[in-house]
Amino acid sequence: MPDLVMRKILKDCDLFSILKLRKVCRGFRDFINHTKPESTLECITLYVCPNEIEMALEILKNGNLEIHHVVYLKHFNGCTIQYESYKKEKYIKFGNDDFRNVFFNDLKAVLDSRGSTLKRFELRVESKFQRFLDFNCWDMFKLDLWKNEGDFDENLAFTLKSVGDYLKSRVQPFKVAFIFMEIEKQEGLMQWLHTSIQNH
Amino acid sequence: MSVENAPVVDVDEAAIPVEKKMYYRFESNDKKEFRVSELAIQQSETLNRLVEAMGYTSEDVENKPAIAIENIDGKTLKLVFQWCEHHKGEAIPVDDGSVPKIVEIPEFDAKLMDIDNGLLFKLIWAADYLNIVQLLNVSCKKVANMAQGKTPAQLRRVYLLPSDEEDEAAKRAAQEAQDPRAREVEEEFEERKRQGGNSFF
Repeated sequence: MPDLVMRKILKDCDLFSILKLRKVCRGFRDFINHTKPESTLECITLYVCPNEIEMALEILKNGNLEIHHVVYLKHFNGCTIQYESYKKEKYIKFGNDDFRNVFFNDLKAVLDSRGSTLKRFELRVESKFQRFLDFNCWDMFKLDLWKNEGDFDENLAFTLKSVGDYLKSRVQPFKVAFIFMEIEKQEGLMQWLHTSIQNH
Repeated sequence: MSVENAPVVDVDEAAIPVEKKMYYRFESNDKKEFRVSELAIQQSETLNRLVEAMGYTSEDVENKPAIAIENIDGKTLKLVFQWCEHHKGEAIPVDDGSVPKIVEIPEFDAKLMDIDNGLLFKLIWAADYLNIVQLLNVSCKKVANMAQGKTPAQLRRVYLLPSDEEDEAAKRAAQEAQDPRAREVEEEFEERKRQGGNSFF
């Protein structure tokens, strides 16, 4: 397909579809990374949990806000990505990559897609117990979440570093109207704020 | 008043505007001929410029050979001209990129594009080649809509794309096909490794 046509198709795709298109093949992923198609992303919430990281995206579509969830789960030999809610059961196994790397690459694509000011950016932390309350028990078993202890501190540190690295790499500052951050240790936040403010 | 007593009015026939339609003839790469109205052709910037440059009269259109469109087959061209005839006279949208436009697919277009993926991609390619802005808009929108709610594996099937693994395997196979000696060397190398030997170098 000609370049112009590909750009046009990507322009018509919503951000959620683009995230999935990035997993189709390397060629598509490279093209998306290169063209950075704009989205109507309004808000983003990251939930950092012991064995997974969730990205909740609020996307404006035909005047209405749609919320989509992407969950990056630690898998015994790689990464599993969960689209939508647990109940819709759309899991994909994504290569042997670490789930945090897959999350970071998607996060970059998501943040790159927002040209103007993002309305809200939230970072929340959730324990395994909170996660259990959010989703039903069968899903927890099916995804082996009970067996998988994970490392909460490592995930949180990785997420903070990812966002910090992304902000550092940008030529233009990333604009957000409202930031909410839930964090356990103050040092992590201070380090992150220091990076963000220093660069922008 | 009876019919016999009705006033007789002389009508100057030349004064009545007669809609003068000119139909151009086009030929696809598989030698299928199509007659398309002048107004419908205006939807395609490429064809419109072409017929303007040719400056054909009504007689030329009938007597000269059909205009050949080398890159598009008959099946695709039929869809393109059906679309152009249905939308003839409509304003051509200008995409200056200033305002994001919401593209809606009309019922006729949706029915027209209810075709297999291979033909749909040919239609998009033809719309791009012939520079039919609105047809390109709706067909791209259709492809974008096809991505909704699908997993990457399903998307691979929809867009007929290989996975990274398949892509790499195909590349390897192509390389091996080009250079059969490379495979022999690799096999020899593997055999030596199994026997505990060192590499060739």
